[in-house]
Amino acid sequence: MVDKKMFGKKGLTKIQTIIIIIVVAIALIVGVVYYISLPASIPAAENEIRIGISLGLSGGYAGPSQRQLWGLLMAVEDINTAGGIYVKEYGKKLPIRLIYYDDRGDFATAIKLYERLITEDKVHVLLGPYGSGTTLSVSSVPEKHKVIMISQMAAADTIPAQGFKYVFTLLPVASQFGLTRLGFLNSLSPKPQTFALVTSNELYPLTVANSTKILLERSGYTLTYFDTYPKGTTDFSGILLNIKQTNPDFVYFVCYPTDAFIIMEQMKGLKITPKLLMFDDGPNDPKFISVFGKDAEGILTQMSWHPALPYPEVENFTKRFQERYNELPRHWSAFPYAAIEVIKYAIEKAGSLNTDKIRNALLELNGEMTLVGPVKFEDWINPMGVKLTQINTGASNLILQIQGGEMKILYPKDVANAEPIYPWPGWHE
Amino acid sequence: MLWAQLIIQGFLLGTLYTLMSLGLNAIYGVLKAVNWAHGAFIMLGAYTAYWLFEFFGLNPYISVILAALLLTLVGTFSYDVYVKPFIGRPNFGSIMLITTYGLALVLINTARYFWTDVLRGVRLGEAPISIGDISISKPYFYGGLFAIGIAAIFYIFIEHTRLGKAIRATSQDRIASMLMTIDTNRLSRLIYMLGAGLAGATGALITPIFAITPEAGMVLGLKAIMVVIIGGLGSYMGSLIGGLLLGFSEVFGAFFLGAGNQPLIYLLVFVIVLAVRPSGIMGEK
Amino acid sequence: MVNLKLQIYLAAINVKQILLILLFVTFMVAFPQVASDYFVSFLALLLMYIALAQCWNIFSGYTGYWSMGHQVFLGVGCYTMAILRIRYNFYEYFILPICGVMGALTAILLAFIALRLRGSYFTICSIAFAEIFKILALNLEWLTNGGAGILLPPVYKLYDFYYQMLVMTITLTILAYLIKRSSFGYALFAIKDDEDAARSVGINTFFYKTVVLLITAFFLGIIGGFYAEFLTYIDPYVAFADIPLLVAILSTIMGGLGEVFGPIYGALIYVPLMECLWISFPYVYLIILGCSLVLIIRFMPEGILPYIAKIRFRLALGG
Repeated sequence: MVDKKMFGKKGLTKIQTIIIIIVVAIALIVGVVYYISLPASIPAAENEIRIGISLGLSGGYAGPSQRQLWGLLMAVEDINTAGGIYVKEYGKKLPIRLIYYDDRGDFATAIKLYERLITEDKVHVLLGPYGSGTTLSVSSVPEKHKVIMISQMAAADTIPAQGFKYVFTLLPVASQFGLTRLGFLNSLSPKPQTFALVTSNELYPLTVANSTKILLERSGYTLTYFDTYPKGTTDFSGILLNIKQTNPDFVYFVCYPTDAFIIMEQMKGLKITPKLLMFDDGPNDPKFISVFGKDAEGILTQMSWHPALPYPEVENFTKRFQERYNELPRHWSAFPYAAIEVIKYAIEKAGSLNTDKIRNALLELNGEMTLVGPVKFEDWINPMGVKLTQINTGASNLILQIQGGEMKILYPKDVANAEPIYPWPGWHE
Repeated sequence: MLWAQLIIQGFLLGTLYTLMSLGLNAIYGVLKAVNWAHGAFIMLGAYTAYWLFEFFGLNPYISVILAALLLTLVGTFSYDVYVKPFIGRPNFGSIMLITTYGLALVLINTARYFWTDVLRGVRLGEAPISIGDISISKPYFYGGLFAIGIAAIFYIFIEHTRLGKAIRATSQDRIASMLMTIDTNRLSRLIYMLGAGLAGATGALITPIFAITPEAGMVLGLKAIMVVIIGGLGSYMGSLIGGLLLGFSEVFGAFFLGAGNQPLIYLLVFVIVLAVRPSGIMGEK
Repeated sequence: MVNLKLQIYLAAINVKQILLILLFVTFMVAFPQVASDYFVSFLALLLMYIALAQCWNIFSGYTGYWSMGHQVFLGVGCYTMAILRIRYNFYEYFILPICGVMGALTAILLAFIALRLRGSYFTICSIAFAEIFKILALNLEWLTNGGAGILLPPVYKLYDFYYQMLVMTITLTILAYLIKRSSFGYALFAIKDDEDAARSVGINTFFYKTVVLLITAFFLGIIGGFYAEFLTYIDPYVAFADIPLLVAILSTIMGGLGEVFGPIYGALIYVPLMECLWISFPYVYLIILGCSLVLIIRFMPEGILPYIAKIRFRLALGG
C-alpha cells in the first residue's frame, strides 16, 4: 500500500521514483529479450540435412499419421545407411535428420509447430502434415518464411489453388480422383446410366465427391441421390432408404473405413444391390474381407498407391515394410517415402541446400521414378477451371476391386492387372 | 412399404435410446441432479463388449451382462469420488453436473489415451431378417429386443420389489424417506451403480449397430440428457416417450431431410421444450 | 485538497501491482520484435486463452450461471469474418465490429431461450445451443461451405494476431475489473449469491444477465474474427470446438472464479503445463482437467487464488 513516506521529504520524490522504475523496467526488458533472442546453437557449416514435419500422432488421425511416420522413417533410414544425400557444395554426403512433432490434428497447434520447425529447428525442407484441413491451415507459414514444403498427405484442391510458390503437392489431388472415376465408368460396357453419391461432410471427402459429381454429370451420367453426412454418423438408414428408392446403377460412398463397415451391414439389412458399389475407404482394411466374406466380392475401392503396382521399387519396399511393421503398406507410407526420395533428387540436382536452388530443381523434375511412380511438378488447370500450382501430374488415383479375396487394380489401364467384375454379384446368405 | 420400414427402424432405435436414458432418469430421481458421465458409462460398456469380442470372440449379447457388471463397479468408484463428497451442499444439482462432467472427461480421455480415436465396432455380418419388403438388420432387432427386455425387468424391479419401492419413495420425498429409516445414502449409491450398469448394458447392445469412439461418450451423454429432459426428469414414461421420439426423429429426419440435418430436429425440440415447458412432456409443472 | 484525493485514490489502487502490470505489459509489447516466431505463437495462443477465460469469467464467474456453450459466440465470430471477407471482400477491421454484433445477436437468442432457466438446465441448454450452431454451420453450405470450410486470404498473420490478443486480454481484464467494481457488477454478484433474494429487492435479474451475456458474446465474436484470420482456414469443427473454452473454464476455476486476475493466473499455470505434457502424454491434460475440476470444487471451490489468499490471511492472523 502507498505509504506517505514514499512521497515525503525523507523518501524519494515522486519523480525520482518514476525514473528509477522506468530505468529498471528497461533494463529488465532488454535483459530478458536479449536472453530469448540468443540463437540456438547452429554448426558453422552444415553437417546434416534437417527435414521437419508435424503429424496428427494423437487424435482422430492417429492411425494414418503413424503410418506416415513409418514411411518417413524408412526412407530416412534407407538414405542414411547409404551415407546420406550428396551435396556438391560441401563435396560430401550429408545425413538426414528428421524432426517431427505431434500436432494432434489441431490447426492452431500445427501452425505453432511449423513456426517452431522453421525458426527454432531451422529445417531445410518441410513436409506437409496429415490431412487436408491441417495442411491448408499451415500452408501460409512456409510460404511466408520461404521454406519449401512438400505436401504428401493432403489431397484437397484448395491447397495448390492458393498459388503458393513454396508448397509442392505430391499426392494426386481430389479433382484428379474425379477423372479416374469418370474414366473407369466410361470404360465399362454397358455403361452405367445413373449414380448416387454420399460423402462425409469434411474437406477432403467433399472435394473428391464434388469433383466426381461435376465430372460425371457433365459427361451425361444422371445423379439420382446426393447427401452429406456429419462426421461420426452411425445410422445411415435414412440415406440408404433413399438410395433404395431411387435405384441407381452406381453407388459411391466417399467415406472413412468404419463408415464403410456400418454402411455395408446396413445395406445388407436393407438388401440394396446396385450394379456397382464403391467405398473410398474400408475395403482396403484386411478385416473387410474377413467380416463380409463372399459379400465383399466385387466391391470397388480406390487407392493412390498399391503394392501390386508395376513400378520398380514397389515390391522390395512392400516386403521390407511388411517384415518390419507386420502389415501391408498403403499410400499413407508410400507417399511420404517418395517425398523423401524427391527431396534427395532435388538436392542432388541443385548441388546445394539453398532453398531457391532446391526449388528450381524440384520444378525441373521430369518424370523421375519414385516409389509412387513418375514425378513431375507443374501447374495444372482442374476440371472446374481452377489453376493449381506445383502439383504432381505424374500421379494418378487407382480404382481397385476385390476379386477372389484379393485386391486387383482395374484402372488406369496401363497399371491394371485384372478385368472388372461387372455387375456386382450382390449379397449372399 | 417404406413407411413400415422407417417406423420399425425408428422404433427399434428408440427403444435403445430409452434404455440408455432409463439409468439416467433413475439417478436423477434419487439425487435430483444430472449425471453427465452417463454417456461415458455407455461408451465404456460398448468398449467392454468390443474388446471381449476382439479377444475372445464373445458375442456382444452375452457381453451385455459383463458390461453391466463392470460398469456397476465403475459406477461405485465414480459415486464415491465424484458425487458423495458433495451431497448436502447447496447448488448440489449444478455441482454434480460439473463434477460428473469432470468424470466424463477423465473416463473419455483415458479411453482415448489407451485406445485412441479409431472408430471401433463389432461386425457380425449376418443376413437381415426379412418380412416381405421390410428387412431388419439383426443387430437392430436384437438390440431392440434386449432393450425392451431389460427395461421390462427394470420396471418390475421398480414397481414390485421392496428396494424399488424404496427408490421411488426417495425420489418423491427424500426427507420423508429418511424419516422412515431408509438409508438414503446407501440408496443413492445403489441407484448410481444401477444406472451405470444400465448404461453399460446399452453400450454393449449398440456395438454391433454403431461404431464407437471415446468421443461418442460425450455425444451419447448429451442425447441421454436430452431424452430425459424432454420426457420429463423423474418420469419413466417420459423417458420412454423421449427415447422413442429420438429414435423416430433420427430415422425419419435422416430420410426426409438428409443425414446432416437430422440432429437439428431433436436439438430444436429440446431447446423449445426447455424454453416453453422445462419440466418436460410428462413432468409436473 | 488535491493531495488528499490523490492519496485516497492511490490508496485504493495498489501501486506496486500497477507498476508490475505496466512492466509486464511493456515486456509483452516488446517481445515479438526479438523473440522467435515459435515463442510468439505460443504466447499469442496463451493470450487468447486468457481472453477467452476472461469472457467466460465475466459471465459465468460473476453471475453463477455456468455456461458450457460459450464457444458458440467464438464460432459465430469466426464465420462472420470468414464469410464477409471471402464473399464480399470487406476490409478486415470493418468486419470486426460486425463479428462482435453477430456474437451479441446470438447471445440475445440464447438469452431468450435459456436465461430463464436455472442451474443445470441452463448449462445443458447452452451446450445444445452450441451444438445446433455447429450443425447449422455444417449444413448451410450456401452460407458456410459446410464441412469443406472456408479459406481466408492466406496472409501471414502471426504478429498481428499476437498484438490483437494482447489488446483483447488487456481490454477484457480492465473490463472485468471495472464491471466488478461497479454497481452493475454488484447486481451480478447478488444474482450469483441468491437470485430470488435479488429479485425480491427489485433487481431485474433477467436484464442484468442478458446484458452481461451480450457483452461477453460481443468480445468473443471479435476474438473469433481474429482467430479465423490467424488460422486462415476454418471449418465447423474448429470454429465451434469446445476444447479452447474448456481450457478457459478450467483456467478460471484454477485461478479463482469471479476474480479479475483469476483467469490470468489460471491460464499461466495450465496452458504451459498442457504444452509440456502433450508431447509425451496425449490427452493427459484433459484427464488432469477432469480431475482438477473435482478436486478444486471439493477443496477449493472459490479457486486456487482465493484459497491461497485465505491461507495467507489465516497465517497472518495466527502468526
